[in-house]
Amino acid sequence: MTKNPLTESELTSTAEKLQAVRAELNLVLFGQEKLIDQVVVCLLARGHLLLEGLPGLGKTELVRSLSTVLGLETKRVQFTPDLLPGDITGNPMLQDRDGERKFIFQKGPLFCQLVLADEINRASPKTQSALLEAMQEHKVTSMGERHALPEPFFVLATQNPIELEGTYPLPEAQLDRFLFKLNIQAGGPEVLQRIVENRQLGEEAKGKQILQPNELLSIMEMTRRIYLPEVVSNYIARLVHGSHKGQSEAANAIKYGASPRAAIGLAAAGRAKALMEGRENVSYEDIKAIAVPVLQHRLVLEYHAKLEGLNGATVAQALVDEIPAHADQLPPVLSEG
Amino acid sequence: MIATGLITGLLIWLLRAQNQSTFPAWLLGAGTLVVSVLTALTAYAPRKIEQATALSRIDVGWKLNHRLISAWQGIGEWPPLPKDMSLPVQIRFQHLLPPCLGVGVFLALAAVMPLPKPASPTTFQRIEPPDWTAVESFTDELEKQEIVDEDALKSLRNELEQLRAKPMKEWYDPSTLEATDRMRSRVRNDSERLMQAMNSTSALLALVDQGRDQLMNPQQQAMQDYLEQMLEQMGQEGFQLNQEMLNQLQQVDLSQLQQIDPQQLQELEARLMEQGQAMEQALIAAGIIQGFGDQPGAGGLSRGGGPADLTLKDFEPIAQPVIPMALEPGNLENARIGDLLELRDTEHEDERETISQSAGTLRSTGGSGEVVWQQDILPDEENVLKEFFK
Repeated sequence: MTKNPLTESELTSTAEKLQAVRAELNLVLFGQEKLIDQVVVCLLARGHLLLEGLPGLGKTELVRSLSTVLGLETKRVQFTPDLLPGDITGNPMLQDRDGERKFIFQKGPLFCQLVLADEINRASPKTQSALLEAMQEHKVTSMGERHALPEPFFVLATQNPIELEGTYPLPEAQLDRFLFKLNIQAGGPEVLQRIVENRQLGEEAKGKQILQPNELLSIMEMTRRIYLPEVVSNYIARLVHGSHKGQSEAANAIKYGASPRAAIGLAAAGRAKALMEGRENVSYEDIKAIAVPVLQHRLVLEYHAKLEGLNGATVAQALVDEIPAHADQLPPVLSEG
Repeated sequence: MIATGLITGLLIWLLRAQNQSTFPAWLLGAGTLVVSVLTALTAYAPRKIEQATALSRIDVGWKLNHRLISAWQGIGEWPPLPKDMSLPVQIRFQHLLPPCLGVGVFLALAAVMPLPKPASPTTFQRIEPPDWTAVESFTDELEKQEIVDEDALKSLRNELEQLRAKPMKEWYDPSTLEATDRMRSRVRNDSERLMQAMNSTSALLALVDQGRDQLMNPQQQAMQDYLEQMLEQMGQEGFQLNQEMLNQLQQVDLSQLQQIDPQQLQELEARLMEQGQAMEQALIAAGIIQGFGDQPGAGGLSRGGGPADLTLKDFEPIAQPVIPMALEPGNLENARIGDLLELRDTEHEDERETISQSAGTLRSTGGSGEVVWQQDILPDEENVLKEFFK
């Protein structure tokens, strides 16, 4: 049980602030309400986000808008095959200080609150792995010295699902460090019409700041105080356990299931979603809503499943559909209302 | 539920079969059902459904997003009751239908299934060995005609009742059938003996009546001796002639023929003849002996014993008295059955007249050189048979 549950006023004010954030982002990015909600949930849960989508769908726009609305310092790194780890973490530079030559650590683009790692799969594994420590520990080590990254720290990475030639797919260990993987889909004709009517080439989207960074930190702290009922934590455990071979029907398509980190991520994201909706507790619906983004990139599929056209999202959704929320089964004469 | 229905149905059917009220079975079935439901609710359900799970189901059913279970844990306020308070679980009546139908079928079968008809005890009484019925009807007829002494008939009835008193399952045991066969044979033998004696006496009296004026004293004495011999036969154990008739015959003294009223002789003769024929008819009617033309032919269910196919056997009288006498036998063509043809002063050696039996006993084992009848057995043989049939 949560030791210090949120008060009604805290919940109300926080929900209002978050609603304002979402509304502002929706003014910038048209037709992506669900995506925006999931991005906000991911940030509140202190998670990193992997965005996958075709070029021109607004990935960079989303990051910029977030930066503006949340008042975060943002840097963008375009990942290329020749990008070196030091290019993103920073390098020690020989400098003359007070008559002495010293190696002074020159901070790289990671030293900001919101990093956009654009086309992350185009960098070499060496460079990709340089992100591991930063994403997990929010620290960078250079010349034996550890340098703390500013808080809050988020990595929003993007990758292009086409033009895979010459890319380096992210290893499972690194994928596991992303809390969400979201697929950006193009909107319908109505959305396109709104974009055409409200945007011009070369014009940057404008938004206003809603939160201060310390407010965001405070809200993130409040997320941890959301009550996670035992029945819901049991559901999370069964969901993750069911992703392993032989534990469910859907797991037949899975070679390696989700890790405990996925279960922790589900709980954190569930709390964030409950807070965003102004509730003091997590529910089954919260978990079901964020299960696919949390699980889809953590499931290593069987070869035959890939041949059948399945992907992580469809298998994760099948898992959610299969695993019942309630631990106990009703007798045959009863059915769910 | 199905087990309860099955047991209740069986009980109902059994009670119906015993022609008793089925109310206790209905009461027991309903009670068992209620106890089962209460047991499931009080013992089974709490083990299977935890409170948190139940609250969780209500949360989901009422779309409260687990605010109910949170409030139960002291987190937040109790949520207001929703407008649509439908049950979070629904009963699947299609799952309840098969057991209900099964119970209904069991109960309906128990209520309408025809019961096996109990065997009527009178049916078994009627299928007693046929010889018992034959002997009984013959006894009734003899009693009606007052031919035989009542004590003999009473003894025969007692013997018959003893056989009937046996358990029905033993009626067709070999020992019972053997006793029945022996009783029937004895009745037949006694009857034939008595009939023969009556016919012979009747013929004797007719002869005396016809030759009343011609008979000399020695001949009268011989006839008196023969009459006494017949009286002895008619008074033997087994079937005795009616005591009244026997007394009248004993008062007749043929050696004093002139003192006997001719009308009395004729009445005695006619009565003896009439009773002899009545006895024979009774034997034939009861099936103890077979009358002329009534014999079953060879083949068929009751084959054996009858005349050969396509032959008509001449009627042979049961006994042909042969009484050699000095008189001319006369025209044999006109002789009637039982007529006294001649008188002879010799000893009659017909074994059938010297051997008499009763059920399970042997009066005569025969003498040297005598014919041993089929139904006669030695004491040793009888013991062996008794041991065997035990």
